[in-house]
Amino acid sequence: MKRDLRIKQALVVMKVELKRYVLARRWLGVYFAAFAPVLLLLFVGIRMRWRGVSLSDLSEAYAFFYQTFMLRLAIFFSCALVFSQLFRGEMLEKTLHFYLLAPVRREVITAGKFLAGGVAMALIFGASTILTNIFIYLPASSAGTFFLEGEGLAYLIRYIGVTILACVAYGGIFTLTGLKYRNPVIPAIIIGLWEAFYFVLPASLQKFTIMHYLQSLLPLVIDRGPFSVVVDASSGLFSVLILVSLAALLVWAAGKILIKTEITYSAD
Amino acid sequence: MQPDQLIVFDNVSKFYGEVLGVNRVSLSIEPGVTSLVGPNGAGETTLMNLMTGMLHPTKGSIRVLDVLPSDPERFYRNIGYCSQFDAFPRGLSGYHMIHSMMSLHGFTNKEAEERTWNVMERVGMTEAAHRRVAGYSKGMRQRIRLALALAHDPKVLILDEPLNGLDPMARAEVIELFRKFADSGMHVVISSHIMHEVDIVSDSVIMLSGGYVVAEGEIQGVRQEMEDHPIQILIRCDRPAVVASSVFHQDSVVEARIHTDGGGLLVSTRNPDQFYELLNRIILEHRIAVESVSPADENINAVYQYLVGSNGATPL
Repeated sequence: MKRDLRIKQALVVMKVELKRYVLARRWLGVYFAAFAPVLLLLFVGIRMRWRGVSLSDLSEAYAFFYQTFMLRLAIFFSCALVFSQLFRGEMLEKTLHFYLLAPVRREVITAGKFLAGGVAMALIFGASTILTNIFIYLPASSAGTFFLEGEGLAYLIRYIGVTILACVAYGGIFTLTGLKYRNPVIPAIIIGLWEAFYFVLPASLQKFTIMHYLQSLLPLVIDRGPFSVVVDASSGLFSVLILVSLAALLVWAAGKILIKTEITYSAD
Repeated sequence: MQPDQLIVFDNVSKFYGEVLGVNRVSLSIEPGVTSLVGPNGAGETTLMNLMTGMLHPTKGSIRVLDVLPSDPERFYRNIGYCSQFDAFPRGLSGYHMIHSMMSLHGFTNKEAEERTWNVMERVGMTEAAHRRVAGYSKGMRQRIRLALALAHDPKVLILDEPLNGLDPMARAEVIELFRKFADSGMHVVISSHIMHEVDIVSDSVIMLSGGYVVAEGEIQGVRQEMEDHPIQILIRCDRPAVVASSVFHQDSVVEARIHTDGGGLLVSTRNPDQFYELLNRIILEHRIAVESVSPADENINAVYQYLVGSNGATPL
């Protein structure tokens, strides 16, 4: 009974958050990061349509685009913006007390907010991943066959999966940092550098990056140059478990911080 | 009275770093309208935020109807808090805010709808219900905060400056509403700097100064605690000089000032009961035509000024 109520409460929080933020001005940057590449690839794809570019070249190009731009920049920084603001934004706007005055466990509030961010980011970047992936194959004459009979669809599904897991894992991190730090920009930059250059870290430290596990799930691996330290990929199931468990742990920790949080807006 | 009917502060202190919020507060608040009175920074808002779990005490503990704030699922069912923060979540209408809050309370969609419309009607906001809160006037936002605090029928209503931004008509209605709640056995805790309104509505007062509770109890009771402080009584009559000379025979009368218009006098006495008996005798003896006799300062402002000094007073 209590569990049902808590699930309902988390979903109410999620719905309220989505209603508040999906069309908010502060998310313009997120939409731009997600959909500007879609328009760019559509434009390039139309111009180069049916030029007979090989599928393997396009797959590699997409792998490069996805791993460098989408994962490291667009998804990472959008998650930083959205999830850090889940609580910090409320403190700045002096509206957090509305939730805290409801008969809801604070962990449930945290879960609801995290779900809202996760659903929104997964939908936005999931759509972006699908569209960019389809549009990049426009120059190939056999794109249709590649998706329907070849590896295209399997690749696409894996990219979507990685996108969702990236949103979940980075979401967990930034939900926590948004509550813990008054200025979440500094931790975002530090984590961003750690994640962006994970491949030059010693093998043992690479296991402490999100990127390592995301990379293990991708269909193609790109060459990262002479300084990269090559590490064996973790198994798919293990990577998924690690990323989901990590996010759950971080959201739980954020909930515990929220329990101790006081409403002293003037100090924020 | 049972603990599940009381708001209990047990030796509560709250410090913001090294700054004192409230210190060593021990209170036991019974049902009825209780007003927290004090100048800005005296600690009323801190006390309210402690009472609602928005702040955690540095020392001591707080129980509202025998429930600790660390049990939010039970604690906040009992509490409705109308805070003074005038910020609302963006993008939501008044209706949506209250409906969502009712859903968080666990009401079904239909119940939440009914409660939302009922409370909207109660605060006179039905017509603007679907407008975004951002477009509301200050008074409308105050009504929505009140509606949010009332919608789930709490047993304890805590209101920080609840009459701010309301027009006189709405103030009168809200004051009547508070009285009704109190008469039905609810706790209504109010902070206000508008003394005459506190006077009208309160059953008891808690006076704060510099983070300390300087007095608490019924308004009359607080007055009686101040044995050294004389009460001022205003008498409007045709021969104030006769009254003045007659009352001076009584030891408890410390001052009698005749009004410049010659139509009355102000008497300060340490024993009002004795004084009223004497006054009756004087009136009969000298056949004095009395227009009115009324306590001049038996309100919170006077009591407050006496207790914390004139610097603590706030204008009416």
